[in-house]
Amino acid sequence: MITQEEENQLLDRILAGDRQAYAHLVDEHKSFAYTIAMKVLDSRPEAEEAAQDAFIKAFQYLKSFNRQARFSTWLYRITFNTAISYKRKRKPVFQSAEKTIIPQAGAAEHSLEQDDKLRFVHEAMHALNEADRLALQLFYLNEFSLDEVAAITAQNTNTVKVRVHRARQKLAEELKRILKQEAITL
Amino acid sequence: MKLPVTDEYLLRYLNGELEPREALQLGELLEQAPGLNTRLEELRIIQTYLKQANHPQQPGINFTSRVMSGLDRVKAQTLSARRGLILLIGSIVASGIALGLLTLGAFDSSTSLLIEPPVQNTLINLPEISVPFNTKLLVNTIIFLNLGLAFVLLDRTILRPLFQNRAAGS
Repeated sequence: MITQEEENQLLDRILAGDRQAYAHLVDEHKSFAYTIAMKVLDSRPEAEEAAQDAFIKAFQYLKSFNRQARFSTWLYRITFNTAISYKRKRKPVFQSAEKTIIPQAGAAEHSLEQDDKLRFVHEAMHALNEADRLALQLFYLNEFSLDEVAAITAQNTNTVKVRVHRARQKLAEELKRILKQEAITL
Repeated sequence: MKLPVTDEYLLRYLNGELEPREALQLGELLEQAPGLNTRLEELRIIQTYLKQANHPQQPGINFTSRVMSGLDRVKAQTLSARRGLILLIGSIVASGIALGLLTLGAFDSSTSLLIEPPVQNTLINLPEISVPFNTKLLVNTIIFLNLGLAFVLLDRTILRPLFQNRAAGS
């Protein structure tokens, strides 16, 4: 992880013409940029392409970056916008059940029952509206602050706060409903 | 403790953000209210899921090298933009000169194309061929096409990059 000062030095070098210095920035931020694109697009090849595109755009417009915000926030916003435009352009595709990634509970102490519950939450997650789901996912991605999520998604902080709260509330309600249904079935 | 305890309050409890005194009070309340306990359990599951599902993922191993090779394309595009700008200026200047000449009436006199016989022959009188030719119309057409080209160049070299820049910067 590079410090703000190191990042500024890298930016100065890039702007002075040292293009190889940009590779350090790419290495530093590629993981989050890719994950953000992945949250929007839900497709590995598309997310990779969108994230690469975002890095190229960021390089192209680096002169216009005024350094008032952090470079990462500016870059993630470009990534988010690029991913959204990729999503708008693409044709609707059917995603098979096998392709759907359900997070695996890695720890051994998780019981089968808990894994089932996590699966239910995953299902409930897809029942949320897209904007709420994205706000919630970004909020929990490395635990971005509400201000950072707002900057990335170009929304008001209060709007993001409402979205996160509403999404969590809906998840809880949905989980409650599913569990009740399960209890009746048993 | 004030009732009802909100989800936000329970989430703060799960995140360990409550004061020890508040956490103790809530612990006591949880023992007395099984409904609240169930709610806490539901929120715990959601927190667990969200934290598990939202770890940063790694792109492919060639990611950085692909981005770096993509930068070369950007450089090439910048050069073609410069060429485009030169072409745009050239196109506008040419249209301006043509329009100026047109206004001054430089193309008013030549309205026919005269084809004279290649060899002067006193024995046979070859007729002079005159093809009607509207130079003004031709120049107007060229100016029109030139301005169309200038508009396309303006869009490609100035307007589109400008709006893309704004979109990326905002």
